[in-house]
Amino acid sequence: MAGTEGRMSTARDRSAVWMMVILAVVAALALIIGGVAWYKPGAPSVSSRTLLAPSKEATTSANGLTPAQQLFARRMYLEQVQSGTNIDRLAEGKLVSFDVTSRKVAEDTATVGITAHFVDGTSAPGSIGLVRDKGSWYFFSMEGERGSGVSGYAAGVDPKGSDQVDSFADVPDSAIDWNLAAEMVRQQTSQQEYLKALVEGPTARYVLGKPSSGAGTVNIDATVYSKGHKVKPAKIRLVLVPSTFDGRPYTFVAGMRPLGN
Amino acid sequence: MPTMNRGAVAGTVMGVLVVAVLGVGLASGLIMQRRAVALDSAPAPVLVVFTGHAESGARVSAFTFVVKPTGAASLIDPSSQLSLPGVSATTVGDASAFAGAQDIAAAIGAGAAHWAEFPETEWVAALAASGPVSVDVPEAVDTFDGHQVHSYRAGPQVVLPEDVSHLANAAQFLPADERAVLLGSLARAVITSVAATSSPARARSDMSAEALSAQLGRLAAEATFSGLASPAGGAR
Repeated sequence: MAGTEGRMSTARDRSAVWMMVILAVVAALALIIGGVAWYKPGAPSVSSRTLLAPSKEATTSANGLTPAQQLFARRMYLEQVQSGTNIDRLAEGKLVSFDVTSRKVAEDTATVGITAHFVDGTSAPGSIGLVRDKGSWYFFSMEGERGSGVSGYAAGVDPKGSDQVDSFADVPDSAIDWNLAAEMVRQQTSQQEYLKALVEGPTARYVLGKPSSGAGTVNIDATVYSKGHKVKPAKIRLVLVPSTFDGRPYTFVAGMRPLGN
Repeated sequence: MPTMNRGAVAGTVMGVLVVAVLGVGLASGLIMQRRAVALDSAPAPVLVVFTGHAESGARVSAFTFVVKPTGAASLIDPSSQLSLPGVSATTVGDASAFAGAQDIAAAIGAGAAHWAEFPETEWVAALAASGPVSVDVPEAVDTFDGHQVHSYRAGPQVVLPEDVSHLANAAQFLPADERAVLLGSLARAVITSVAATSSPARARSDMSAEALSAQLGRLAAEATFSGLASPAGGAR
């Protein structure tokens, strides 16, 4: 009898414990519901969405380019690295104008001879190198010639840039900013009017404005004059992009676009 | 018998306690909701931040402005200086990378009694739903977002919703008067789209969605921004 009463007592105890557990859970839910309403009075129902901007990382690889175009973009990018010192001068606003002095076109390359005029009144000869691909011209390099006895900025021009890329073949693909390289090709493909005029004429002179910073760009507005002013001067913008190569800052010529006259 | 009595007593006591706690929890929620309604019933200026991302990818305040109960609004210059404890950002534009609208409102004052913050995903979705937008670009601008150069000519034009963010970033580099024109033009387009959707319900705010929606609706109808303000001074 005592054993039966003891089992009954134990069963009642278990019921009481279960009752307490269930009630405690209900109480916890009530506190949570009440607490949320208390903590965010009048707050919108959805407030925990991520605030981070969406990433475009996965959608745009450098590549919207074919393997052949990638090789072309790689060479264009590295040639501009090699001209880094001179392009930096351009981005820093040290050049005020340059005159076209000669044109030499051979197969798919062109060398446009120029005289660069600097803000300090000095000038230096040099050349702009362009390469043709499928009938379109692309800006590759900017070289200067140090004459004897020159001073000022003219004395600082770089024959092939002090930032030599000794051998393009040795540069690993991982060192290339492929997104930028691909965009340089795309931009210039769509801006052939000004590049062709530089290589084939009638462009005779670029007068450069002061560089201005943009969001991820350096912009230089310029007026392009033709020989004998036979063609109405065109107002264009050189769009340069600051980036890095091998851990060092470089500026790249992405393209040029019309500004309207 | 004594064992059974202890269990019954404990169960009863717990039951009473649970009912009491339940009542207090629910009552507190109801009281605070009534307080929120009371706050909303007295319209006051609200500081609104639309977060965005710079071309570098960093989170920024794309548009920050104070909306008065009348619907009139003044844009806060993104280059306005502010100081937030423990935060390295020194401008309103950069502050969103580290702080919410509530902190920004507290730091710059500007007479705002309430705050609201629209995540970029929300206002971009609202723009996408409303389609191309008309904006006034005071001078030609270019941006590079690490993938693509985005170029815009000067003058009134219709742009795609995804262009709004690039133009907002470009505005930071324009002279103050041109920055005001471009940001005002962009903010109007965004507000009009947001007010026409359920976006206010998904904003973070100390106001109810209804009250916030009503205030933004008045702004959308008014559709004017009174230039760029630098409440904390020190605009670039």
